[in-house]
Amino acid sequence: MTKVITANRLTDGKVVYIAPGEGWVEAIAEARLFEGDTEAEAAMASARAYVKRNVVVDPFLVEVAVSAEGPKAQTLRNAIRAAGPTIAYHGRGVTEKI
Amino acid sequence: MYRYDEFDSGFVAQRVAEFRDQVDRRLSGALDEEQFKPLRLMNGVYLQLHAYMLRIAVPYGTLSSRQMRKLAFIARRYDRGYGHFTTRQNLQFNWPALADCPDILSELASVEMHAIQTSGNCIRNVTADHFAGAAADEIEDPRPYAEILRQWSSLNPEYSYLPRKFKIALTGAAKDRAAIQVHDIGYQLVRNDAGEVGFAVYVGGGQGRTPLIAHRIRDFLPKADLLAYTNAILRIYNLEGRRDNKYKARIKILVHEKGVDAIRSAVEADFAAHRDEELRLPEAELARIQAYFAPPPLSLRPAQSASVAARMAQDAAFARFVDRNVAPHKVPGHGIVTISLKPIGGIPGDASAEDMEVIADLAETYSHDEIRVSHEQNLVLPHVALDDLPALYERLAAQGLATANAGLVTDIIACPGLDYCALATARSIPVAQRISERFGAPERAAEIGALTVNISGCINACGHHHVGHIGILGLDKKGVESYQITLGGAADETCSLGELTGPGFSTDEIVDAIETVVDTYLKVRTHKDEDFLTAYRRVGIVPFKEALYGRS
Repeated sequence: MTKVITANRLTDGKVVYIAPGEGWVEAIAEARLFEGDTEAEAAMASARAYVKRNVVVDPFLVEVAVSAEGPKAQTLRNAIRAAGPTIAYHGRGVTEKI
Repeated sequence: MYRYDEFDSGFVAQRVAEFRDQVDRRLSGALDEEQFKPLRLMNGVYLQLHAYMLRIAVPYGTLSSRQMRKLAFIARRYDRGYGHFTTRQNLQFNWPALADCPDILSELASVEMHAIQTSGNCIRNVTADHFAGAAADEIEDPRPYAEILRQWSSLNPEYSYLPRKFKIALTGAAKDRAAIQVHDIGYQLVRNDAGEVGFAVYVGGGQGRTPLIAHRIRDFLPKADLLAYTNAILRIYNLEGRRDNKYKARIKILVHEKGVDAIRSAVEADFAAHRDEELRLPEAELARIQAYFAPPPLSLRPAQSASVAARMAQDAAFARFVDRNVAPHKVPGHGIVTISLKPIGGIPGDASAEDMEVIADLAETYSHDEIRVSHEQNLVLPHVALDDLPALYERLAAQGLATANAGLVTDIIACPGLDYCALATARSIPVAQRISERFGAPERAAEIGALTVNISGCINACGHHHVGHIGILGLDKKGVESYQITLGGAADETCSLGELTGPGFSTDEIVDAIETVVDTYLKVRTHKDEDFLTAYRRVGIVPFKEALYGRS
């Protein structure tokens, strides 16, 4: 199963994903994809290093299905984390159907 | 309204400075997350699904226009232009940056507000009847006592690390609008046979995964003993409450496991031993606090308003608004106006910065500068002259705030659910929105009559589903949202816990299922004046189960 690594950014709490190069990105579409558990676990060690450096908090692995539209989180909770609330809150339209 | 004195101002300012230093040390790395998390929680800063969340206390649900304008300013400057009023009379911002939180708290302090004790295992925001000081049926305004409890409990070192959080609610009337029987302590102002006013004391109520109704452990407590008795309850809880299992740590479990008689004896013994020590309320101090809550100078007016009657006769929408959203005031010729934050298809409890500013203006013009937050997630203008209702209604309607549904099926309580909350197992808000739309036609909602629908997105029950006439609990069933229905709950003086109908419904099925419940009620009621709860208590759950699941 393909995975991405997510966390919340320390300064503003925003949901971020480990990027293919250095650092973190906000869009799951731009996240680095990890194939297989070994690679993912090794990357988690790197994510924990970012925690120690006070860049992010609470990193964890998210299973995704990859299609032409990009990676899609497999649980509703992680899909909502990736796309934002599914409701049209003040000043914002509804997120694409999850 | 209560105004901070020098001690209060210094205390809150010092706390903001302390938190600013803690945030600086966190951002610099001097504190790690494990060290910092309890500190931020003590200042109301949570980390939710998408961002930090800041929970701001609105003590006993009372706000001035100046405070409301400050909330609007913060919403715009530091958040995304809106806030969310909660079932504990608090306000939550969903998107603040951690780095901004000290500035936000500093802004709040400038209008005598804070986020202290809105999280953690301490005494949380003390809540009260949102009609306090205005309701026609009130014995006495409970807010001075709520303020005394707030002052006494704020950073009280003995109660900063309780086994679990602790919630106190007060009401000044026999009609319970503050859900006191599902609080750790509920105080109800009562009059005894001698004509004296004191408190009936309820202990051990709560919702969550183990819902329990509070027990009345004392019929009459003299006012002067409020703190001494509260202290006795908390001492027993602090000593005997469980700390080994957070799911069994609330006082309701202690009361349930030891039995109400044992708890009453223990509390009374502690109270008797310490009653006349330093916590007895001096009359002069009580009078000083009560003076802050003196009723506004409302002019004498005729009990009926001719202009309101004339407008009601020719404007059905206005008539519905007056019928549903205006409650009797203790001063003739005045009313208490509920501003519904439940527009049809809207998000329960959300208010935009513009909404907040309009309401602040209206409170200044029409309600002696006072606004209340209700635990049903609505706002209230408590002191409105009936003659002003047409003009007030026009201005509310222009802002989309005149939904005439207080207490109706579309006045839904809903927690933020999985759209925001890190603890949630299912979404609440979209279900609330779809139910609201299904029953949105005002004629239909009026035909159904008084009916509360409460929705929680997990078993922690922030959406009060246990005490909704219809309760909905969203769960995760093998990765799919599933919604259980409970029936017959009530949060008022007839407090009861809803009964589970049976297996849950999918997100596609739940709105139809609620409609089935409502249609069943309409069939079984004896006449239009028999409301849902009365009819349910008469016929029981069977007809509803049969309608939902078929005859077995």
